[in-house]
Amino acid sequence: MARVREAALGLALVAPPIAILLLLIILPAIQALTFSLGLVPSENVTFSSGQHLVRSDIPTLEVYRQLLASPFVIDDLRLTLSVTVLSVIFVAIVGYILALYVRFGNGWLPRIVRSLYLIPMFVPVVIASYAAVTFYVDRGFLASLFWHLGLGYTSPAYKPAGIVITQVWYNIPFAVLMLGSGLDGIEQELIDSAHDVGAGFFSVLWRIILPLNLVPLLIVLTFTFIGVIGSFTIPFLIGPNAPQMIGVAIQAYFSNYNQPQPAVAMAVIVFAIAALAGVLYVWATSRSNRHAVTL
Amino acid sequence: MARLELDHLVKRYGSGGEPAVKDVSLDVADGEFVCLLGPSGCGKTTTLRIIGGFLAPDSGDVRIDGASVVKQPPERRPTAMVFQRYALWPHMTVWHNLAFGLQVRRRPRAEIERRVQQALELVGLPGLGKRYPAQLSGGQQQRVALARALVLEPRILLLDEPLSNLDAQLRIHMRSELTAIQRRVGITTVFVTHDQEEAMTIADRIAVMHAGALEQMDAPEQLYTRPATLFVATFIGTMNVLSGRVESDGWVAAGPFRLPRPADAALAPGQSVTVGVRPEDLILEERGSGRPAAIGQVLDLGHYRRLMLRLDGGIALTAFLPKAQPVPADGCTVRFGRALFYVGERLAGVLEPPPGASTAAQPSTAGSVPASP
Amino acid sequence: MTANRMPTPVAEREQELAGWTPAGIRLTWFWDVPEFRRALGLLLVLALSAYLLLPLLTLLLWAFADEWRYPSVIPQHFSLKWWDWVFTNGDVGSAARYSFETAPVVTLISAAICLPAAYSFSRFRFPGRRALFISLLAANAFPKIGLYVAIATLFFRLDLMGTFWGVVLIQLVGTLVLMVWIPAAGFDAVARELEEAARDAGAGPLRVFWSITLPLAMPAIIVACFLAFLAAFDEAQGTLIVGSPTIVTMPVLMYTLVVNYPEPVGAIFSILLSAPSIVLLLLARRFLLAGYLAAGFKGR
Repeated sequence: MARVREAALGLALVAPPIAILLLLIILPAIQALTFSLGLVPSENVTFSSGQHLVRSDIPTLEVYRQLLASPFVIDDLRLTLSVTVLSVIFVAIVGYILALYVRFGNGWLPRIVRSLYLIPMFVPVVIASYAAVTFYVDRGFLASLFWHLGLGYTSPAYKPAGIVITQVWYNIPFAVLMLGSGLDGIEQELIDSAHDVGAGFFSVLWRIILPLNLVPLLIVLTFTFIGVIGSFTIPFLIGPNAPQMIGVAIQAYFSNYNQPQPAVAMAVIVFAIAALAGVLYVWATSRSNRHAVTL
Repeated sequence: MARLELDHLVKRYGSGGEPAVKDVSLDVADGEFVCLLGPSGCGKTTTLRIIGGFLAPDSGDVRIDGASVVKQPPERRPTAMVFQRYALWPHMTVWHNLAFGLQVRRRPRAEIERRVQQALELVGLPGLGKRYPAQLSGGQQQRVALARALVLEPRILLLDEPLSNLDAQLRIHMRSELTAIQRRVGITTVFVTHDQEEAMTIADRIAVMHAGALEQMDAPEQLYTRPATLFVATFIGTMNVLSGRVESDGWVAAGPFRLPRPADAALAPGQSVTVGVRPEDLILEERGSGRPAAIGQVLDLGHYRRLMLRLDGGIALTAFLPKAQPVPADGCTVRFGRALFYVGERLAGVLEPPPGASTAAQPSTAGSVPASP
Repeated sequence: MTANRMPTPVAEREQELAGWTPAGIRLTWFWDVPEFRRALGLLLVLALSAYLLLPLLTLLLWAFADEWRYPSVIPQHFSLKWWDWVFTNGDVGSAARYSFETAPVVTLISAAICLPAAYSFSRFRFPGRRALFISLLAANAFPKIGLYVAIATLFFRLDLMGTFWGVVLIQLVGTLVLMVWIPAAGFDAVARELEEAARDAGAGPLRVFWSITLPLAMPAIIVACFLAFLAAFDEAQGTLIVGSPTIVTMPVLMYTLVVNYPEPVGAIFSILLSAPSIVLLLLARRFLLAGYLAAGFKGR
């Protein structure tokens, strides 16, 4: 009886945020999904007045077929995936280097780094993108600097590289916080005992630290992936016009071409890919919580 | 100050599988100090938590002074618990930790002040009110936890292995402090521990638990001399154990020994029995009527010696010799002074030495132990 | 923080364990030389500082520039005239007001709704607990742009388009994960025994929560509130769809400013937009211990 009461109370308390989630995310997502499958809702003016609608009484994959037949969309997808993967890789590497330095470095330099890496966390994404543009753009600050140093300069602005650079910049704080916290959780004794049997820095890193810190790494990888793949602001301000990141393309299809149906279909595709990453996160955390060694 | 009764408590964890607590019933008299003793996983902490109200039993009753409290949540039970890791609230001062329960009961400020001071003095920590738990040593934290329980003047005090986190010397010191305080306050106390030496020292009675069941509840002396089950026999103190069988003539053959049946035991020929002998009840002689044994390791333990003996058939026995008695140089003979007979798990009978004959320190008498005490 | 030293390894054994050396030569010989390590560290810090700070520095310079042409590394002319323009611009004032009105409201409502849920996820057992907990991630995983038309339709029907509460609602969504996951980890960290001891002392469940659980989980809750405030304050996409043209917050205004006006305007606006973040940064340094953020995302 008490267990039923506990369950009822528990569910009641989590109801409000879940309700908001349902109302503002799940329901619209389902609507978007059904619309992308060809079921056009007549009461939705925006949807039903779109161009190039595929109407059907039963769910159909025609919209997706058309979408994936378009070379532009394929290019967009390819760009999105490559930018996302590259961003994730660089965030992980740079984040790890910083986290290791803060954890194992000596003296006052690592302490500076500890305050430094947090800075992007407090910069709104719009500003981050804007700052990146003005900094990296052709004939911008960096270009001037290179000119003075006598070096040639090709601007990464309005190119995929620009997106990667800015995404890495923006995601460093989260990565270093997660990885750093994971490193803190590794007992110094585990490292000391490895040194005791003669392992050097890189051996310890490869064989002890990295394996023990796998879950935070996976968390960083999945969350960064999810954040970058559907992002809008950064690619909008600093990315190329063609091909575009999917987030920007969705916006364009909605606003500029008035083609809401392909837009939501693209959103569904992105969500499906992001959901895969989410599954990885769930799997990783549930495994780690099972294997946790409690002392 | 109250009577506590546990009535056929059963608690299962998860679905199916062994119950954590199997049909446990016991009584604690007003002002008595009872220990729940047993190895890890025996159900002693579960039982304690049921008494405290942190767990609801699947069936059974908990009664305090005759009134059932099993349906009451912990905040309404007249019990107070000292947790294993003290559970002092880290964000409150010592004073606040003690005052909290009184504030919940909305006692006037003057009364709270007075009672907190009294409690601090009772545990020997006057003047530490303003410190935070993190600033206290382990022993001090433990005493604050005790004070916090006592300041509310509960009818029953529950202690969950409170001394196990202290170092050895402090633990012994705290044991006597604890008993002194308990005696002074006169509060009914239930104390959980896995350390049998601890239980034997401080308890009025000990409830030995094993795999969720209550094996025996008795005064320490009784537990030691008449352990009711094989588990209790081997858990408390050291015990030599031999398997044996009742022969056709009524005597019991155990290893190389032949023992008469104890008078109070009903043993049928052919029955298997297990014989238990305390090391101090083995009689060693240079050349006596017992079985020959080779002497292995000899450990000098201060006022007595521990000997490892090897007999025919690969039987190994532990014996205690008082310091005064010299160690036989070249093997010896062993016979039983006092033995316990178990059928299955339960104590069937005790073979006592004849009156006047004590254990171990006697010169040998011819023949084995007389047939009847 | 413990002092962490990587002691100098024994050469041959490291070779064995590392398993990657041509005869006699260790590839990482320089690691043993402390000066080299320090120089490498310094290089790292300089590179990192440049990467992180220079773009922001550029904006700062732009805010005070009147004319800045390539290839000069600093502006040719400095001026405060654009500040004048920005501050007297009605749009800017109203956007600032809306931003500072919506973000705190969102944070408070988010806390009111999500903290009990966080406590429930932490302490209670109910069917679907794990699934519901993870599902909050969906709020971040589905590209918002793809949802907003559907949301806009819904808001039209509810008469929330272009309203204060509509904007608050849409900003609320982005704070759900932060306001549930991080405090839930904070509650997890409060040992059950501390709560049991309080009940043992006679406190009912509400009193236990108020006197014991909440104070001890407070640092995590504060971190969550900081991050939620920042998330609401910086929210642009949703507010763009739902709020404009009536309710325009600072990030939304930023989009148009950046596109339509010269660099100094965008730069000045960036400074203004960053102001609350900087204030929070200074206040939060004590609390932004990695532990609370990381604990929130480690799952259960």
